[in-house]
Amino acid sequence: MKSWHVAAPVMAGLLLGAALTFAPAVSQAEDSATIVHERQQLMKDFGSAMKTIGGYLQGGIGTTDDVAAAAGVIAEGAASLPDHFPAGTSMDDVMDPKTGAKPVIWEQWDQFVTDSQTLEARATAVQELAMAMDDAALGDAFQALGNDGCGSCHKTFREKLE
Amino acid sequence: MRSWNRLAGAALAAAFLSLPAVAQEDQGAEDSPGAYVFHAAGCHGCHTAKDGVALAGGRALETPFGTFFSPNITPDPEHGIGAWSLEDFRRAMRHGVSPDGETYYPSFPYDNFTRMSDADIAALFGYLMAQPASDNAPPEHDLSFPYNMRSLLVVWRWLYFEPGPRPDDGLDPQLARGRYLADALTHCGACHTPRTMLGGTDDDLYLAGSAEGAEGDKVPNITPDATTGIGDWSEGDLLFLLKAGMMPDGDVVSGSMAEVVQESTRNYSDEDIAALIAWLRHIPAIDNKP
Repeated sequence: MKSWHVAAPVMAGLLLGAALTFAPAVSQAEDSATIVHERQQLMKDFGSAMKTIGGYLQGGIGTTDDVAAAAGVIAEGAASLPDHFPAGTSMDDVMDPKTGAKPVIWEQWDQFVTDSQTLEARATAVQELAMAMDDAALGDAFQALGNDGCGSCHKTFREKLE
Repeated sequence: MRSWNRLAGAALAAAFLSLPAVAQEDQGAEDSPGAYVFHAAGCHGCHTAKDGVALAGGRALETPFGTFFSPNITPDPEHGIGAWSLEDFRRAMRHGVSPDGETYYPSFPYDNFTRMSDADIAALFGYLMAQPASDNAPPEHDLSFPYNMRSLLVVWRWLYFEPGPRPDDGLDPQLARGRYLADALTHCGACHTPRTMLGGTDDDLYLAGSAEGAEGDKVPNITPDATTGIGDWSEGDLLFLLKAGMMPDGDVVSGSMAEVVQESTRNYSDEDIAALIAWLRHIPAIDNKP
């Protein structure tokens, strides 16, 4: 009995540690379909933001304020990105709606989190250059955002859906 | 006279000083011609395993024919290419044959690299030999029958392999360069042209997409066909795809193409990007939905 009293806080500590280390699991109350819908909307928002920035760089559409705002959307979304991927919401777990989230996300969770931090950093860099109206440096920063921010993560973790 | 002597002396000194500079030219430098070829061809992508040592091989390539593991191309004399001569390297790139006389599987796209110029092959060899050596020994290929019969490669080569650079076919220099980038270096057709049962690219469907590309992905049609290809993309759209990975709808490419952009096309010079775009808009539009 005595050993149980000693063990309990240790166990609780271990469990807490585990909860902090690993991806959060879907709570039963939450609907995995809602989670998938929400994160797909987030990705669509990222896509629209990329299109806005690309449109400015490519065709001079909009202003640097628009670019800064769009990059801000990505930076802000990136900060909470891992929260949108609780364990149990991979393409093998959720069929409706279809999701392209590969199970490898949860096998390489630390890398996934690092990638989302890179996305935030690259988007913030674009945002700052846009606010400084530094058109000359914006192209390279956008390239870095597309490649290191979006592409690196997509390369490993995303299955493109039809 | 005196001033002439001084000038001559200065010229001689300059000539003398420039000699060692040429002799010691760093072929492994990131601004060398070999580095440019290396980064345009995307060698690093396939020859580096996930979290592995750069160029030390072991990257798995899962295909309908089985799993290929890329070899070590660092200058390690035993496990890499450190003991190779330039001629060995040229034979591997242009003829798909190892120094031991073994024929390579076309998972190593030497049907593309065979079109590389002698100068680019030599520059690339110099660059590779200046990289850090690794003694990593990658696994053997794991292929299903009958593709594990290396002797079948004779048939493949007879049917599909035509060694050597192509004639310019009267193309203007920009288009010729674009074709060279697409075919010899970046080897777009290795994935974007469908393969036959025997693993040869079906040249009647050049870049028209593949239902089952390397690693099992569906690979899109990139000919100028307006409905099944990318005929409705602007040059700006293509530029942003090749440099940033972004598609016209703002989505960013995934999987192998994300790797191609990162490992290859983003490293192109502005002239080369323009040349590749010109080529992709010049090729025949093919109506093919993979």
